[in-house]
Amino acid sequence: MVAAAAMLGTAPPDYTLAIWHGLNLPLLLSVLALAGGAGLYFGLARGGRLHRLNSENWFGVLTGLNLFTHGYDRLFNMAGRLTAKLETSSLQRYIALTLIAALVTAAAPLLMGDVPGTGSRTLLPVSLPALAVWSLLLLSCVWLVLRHHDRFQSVVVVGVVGLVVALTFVSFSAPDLALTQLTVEVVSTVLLLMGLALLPRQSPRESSTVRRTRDAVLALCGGAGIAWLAWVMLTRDHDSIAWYFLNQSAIAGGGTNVVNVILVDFRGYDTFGEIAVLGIAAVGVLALMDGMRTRRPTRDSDGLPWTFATQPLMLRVAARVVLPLALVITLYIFMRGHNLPGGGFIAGLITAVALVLQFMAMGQSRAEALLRAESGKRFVRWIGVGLGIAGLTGVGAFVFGQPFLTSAYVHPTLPLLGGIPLATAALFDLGVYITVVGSTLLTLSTLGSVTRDSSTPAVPRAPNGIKA
Amino acid sequence: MSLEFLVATGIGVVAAAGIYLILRGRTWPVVLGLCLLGYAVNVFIFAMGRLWQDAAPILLATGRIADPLPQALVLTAIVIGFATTGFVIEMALRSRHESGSDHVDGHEPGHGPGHPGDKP
Repeated sequence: MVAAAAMLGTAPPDYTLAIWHGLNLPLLLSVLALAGGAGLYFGLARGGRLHRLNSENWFGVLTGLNLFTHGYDRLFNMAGRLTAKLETSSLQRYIALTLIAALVTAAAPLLMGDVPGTGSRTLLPVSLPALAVWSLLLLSCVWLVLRHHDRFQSVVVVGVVGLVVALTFVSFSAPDLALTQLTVEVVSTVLLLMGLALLPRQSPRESSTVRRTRDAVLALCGGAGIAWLAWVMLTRDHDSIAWYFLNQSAIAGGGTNVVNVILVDFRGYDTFGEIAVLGIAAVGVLALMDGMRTRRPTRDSDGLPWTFATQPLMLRVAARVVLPLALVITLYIFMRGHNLPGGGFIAGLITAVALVLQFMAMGQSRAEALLRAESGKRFVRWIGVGLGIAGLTGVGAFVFGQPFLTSAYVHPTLPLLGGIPLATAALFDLGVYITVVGSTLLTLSTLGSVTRDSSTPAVPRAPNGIKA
Repeated sequence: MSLEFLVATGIGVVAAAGIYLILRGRTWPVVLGLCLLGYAVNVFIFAMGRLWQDAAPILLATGRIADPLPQALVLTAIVIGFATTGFVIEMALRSRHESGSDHVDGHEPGHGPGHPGDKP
């Protein structure tokens, strides 16, 4: 009954079911139909006539079997040809097709429906520095498109774009983002340069004019589309769900830096997922580079050495002095994160930058020996510890009968220190901090380990080893 | 002209440069292109909260306060963007190590796949 009602969507009509309804008219009709059918068959099939019929005598080649198998083969051949046309094992082609599809999908509903124009929000006036920074950004992007063949310089120019992004965050009231962007910029530039040391310094100019034109058209369409979307959005006022967070941040989260309270408290589950992704990416890097050993050229194509023969004295001394200072600043940034710009992500990145400086100043082996990191593999444990702390903080809420990652805070008054805010969210943030440091160092140290022992000329592994 | 115009066009230009670079044939420009696309997308999402000056989402200040939600989303996006950049760089290195070519298809143009170590 229930199943029938679910299938029909309404209550089923009245009916009665029984195995034997007695002798009645429906039964009589069924018996007549069966007997009639059987009689017809035996009448026609006498002497096996029916079985000797050949459908080809009647229909020629257009038999059902032929139609089916031929149609089937045609369909398969067509699919094969289509696949061969599309699947050329050329990444450039795939990306171009994907981009075209994305552009068409994004543009179609807008072009067919009403095209929204400039909104009515009061706009901010332009200042001279903003115009200067904008011009710098345009120049950098044009330079990158035209001159990206010089890989070393293009890393620097990408860094300029990153700094402009950081400036954008500063000027539009996002101090947390600016700090994050700035520190990430430092670490990723180091990472890019380390990677570049193992790749050719120049990209060959090999794209045909047709391809460059196609790519330029695609890039311009995509850029114009996203710029237009941003313009349409920025010129309209909005109603955000964030006002709830603003109202509840101090009361429910116990912090005044709303961005940080959202990260470690309101949306703690998201953040937990995100640091997990961070850890997975770093461990993925380790797996990717497993067993890869290569010889780094000691000099680049201009004859300049890639590494210091001995680390410069000034750098060594400076690194030694900077480390404790950086760690104190890290602690400060971490502690104030709940109330002022800072927090686990930023503190973790600053620590990573300070440690990367040690790597540069004393060489990877010594730095890792000092960190007791055993050729970097130990950083995996840091990631594990960080994720463990964050996860256990979340599970801790179960003890108090609360859902996962529910945060609590107290303001105990201690002698000498006065009232200090303590939130369990800070413990979660500690997990974030350790994961960020571990992931960053694991990524860098894995990349560095590839050329470990580069001073002794290694035998190229297999015939496909990189030839400098 | 307004700051909104500068930000919108800036996002567009960076995205366009990023798209152009990810369509190149060598792994290195693709890595840089992904970096640029990441910047553009991060600022785009950040701009979802609209642009506010002198209104940091810190509750100590009185007056206007910027939308903190896109900021929180973008903060983690920046860090994850770094992690994926690292991953892509090392993938580029490994690819060149295995195939002897830094072309995105894993072999020099004109040489079929399966000939590691082929030089142009």
